[in-house]
Amino acid sequence: MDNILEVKNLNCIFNKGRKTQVNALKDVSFELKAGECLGIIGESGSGKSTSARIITRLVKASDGEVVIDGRSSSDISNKELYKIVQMVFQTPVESFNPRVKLGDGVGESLRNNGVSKSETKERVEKLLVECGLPKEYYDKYPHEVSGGECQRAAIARALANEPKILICDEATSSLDVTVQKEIIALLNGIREKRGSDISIMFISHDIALVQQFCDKVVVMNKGQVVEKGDANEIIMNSKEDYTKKLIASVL
Amino acid sequence: MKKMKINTKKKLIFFGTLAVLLLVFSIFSEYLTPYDPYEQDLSIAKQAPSAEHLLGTDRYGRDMLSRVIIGSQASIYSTLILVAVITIIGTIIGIICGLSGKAVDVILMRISDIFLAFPGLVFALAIAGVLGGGIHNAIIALAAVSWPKFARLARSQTLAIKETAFIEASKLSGTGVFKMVFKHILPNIIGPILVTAVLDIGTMMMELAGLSFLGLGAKPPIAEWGSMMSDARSMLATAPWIVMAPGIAIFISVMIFNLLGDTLRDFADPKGR
Ligand SMILES: Nc1ncnc2c1ncn2[C@@H]1O[C@H](COP(=O)(O)OP(=O)(O)OP(=O)(O)O)[C@@H](O)[C@H]1O
Ligand SMILES: [Mg+2]
Repeated sequence: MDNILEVKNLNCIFNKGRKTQVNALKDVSFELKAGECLGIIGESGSGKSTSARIITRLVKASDGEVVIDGRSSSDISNKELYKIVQMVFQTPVESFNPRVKLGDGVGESLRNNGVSKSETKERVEKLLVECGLPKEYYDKYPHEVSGGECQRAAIARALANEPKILICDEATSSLDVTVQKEIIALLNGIREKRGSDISIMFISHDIALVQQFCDKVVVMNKGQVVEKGDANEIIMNSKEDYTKKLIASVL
Repeated sequence: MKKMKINTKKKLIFFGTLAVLLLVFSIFSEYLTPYDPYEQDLSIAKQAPSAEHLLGTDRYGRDMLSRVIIGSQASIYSTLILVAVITIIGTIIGIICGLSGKAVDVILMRISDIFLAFPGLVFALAIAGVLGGGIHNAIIALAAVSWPKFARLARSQTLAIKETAFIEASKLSGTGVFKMVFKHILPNIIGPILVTAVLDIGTMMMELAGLSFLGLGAKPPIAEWGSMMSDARSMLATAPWIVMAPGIAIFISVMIFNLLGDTLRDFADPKGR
């Protein structure tokens, strides 16, 4: 299987040269194979989100390379990148403009890519239904629905352009356990349906969930990759002290 | 809590209605004057208020009531234009600063700091003095010194909102800068800006009248409250009604817009409801 995403020696320094300088990433490398699900774990501040935000260009790397589908990310325009990579955020409700209907938020990328109003509406309703929401939710506002429902809409939005890579940055952390399970079931359904057409980067604090949901895992600490490999293998019998401690602290 | 909210709403409707009435009144002011506000009749000059001339007459024998009524046009409209101009310009500059960051932001904000560090009216006086009098130049002078407040506000609001998840999500939807501003940023920051704008109407009306009073605004014979007061200031002791009438008109209008602004602010701030 080919790598759909390769992250090579990423470095990221915030507030360079100032007192508040943070070396958020130090030589971070990992890869995501087509059709696989890669979990990223590590304590708070270890650089998980920063990695995701560099891949999605919300943050600039200081150094290093991101390779997507065999091409250097620097050769890919924003427009094209966002058809390939999408992200689901930790805060479902806040990830929608409070003054815009959910359906319009979900369909925004379609409209930006020149899809007509009527076709957008049709496709958005289909996406909502695929993500387990009634199509009438098109006309709802973010504050009128629950966090879980908003996250379903956010997943629908991320899927609108059939991306090859879906990044979930703590996508289930703000939801309660039953809703978390529903979202995971939804993601599993999406993986089953699309097979090797979708690969997921799953950032989470929930190690049990990562073990259950992900094929591979990357363990990060203080901006560095501690180890990476088969999820079961690493979570069940890691040789690294940091990983052992991390797992012991939550299990 | 709930009762307070209803009260705020009632107050908002009340002052909103008053403000609208004032605007309607000034639109139709030409038809509401009992006498021709510009017709001079020296035989009845400086008459004290009477049944015939409710607010008396000025030194040329013009009916003060008619002049105050017609004066609402120049005073209120130039104020509204001024406030609209500074709100729009300030907001545009503020959003540009908030979004661009770095050099552009630093330069524009330092410029606005310079304006904010001086008393606005003094600065405006200087500008109006250079430009020469006239209501248009007075508006330009006040606009030149009054936009920074709105730029600061729009900038801080933009900075607060540009890090939110929905702006990032919309970036990931491939949304360009223009659509981002008009669809996602502006609708979410316009509330506090409008409240500030309404609160500024009173201040700007006073400052415009102030410039006119100093001879740097509307020029006689145009009836404008500030210049009417200025025109009559030497007669304060002998014919006080000529100064008082436009003064009270300014006072009432400023009060109405200030109270409307205050209520609007209370209404917009959930904690104040
Ligand atoms: N925009 C920024 N400016 C300055 N420092 C930042 C910025 N974003 C992140 N950091 C710092 O970079 C480090 C890594 O942050 P990051 O958000 O990637 O951690 P994380 O692993 O996602 O943590 P969490 O589990 O809490 O989400 C932290 O020390 C953080 O304070
Ligand atoms: Mg994070």
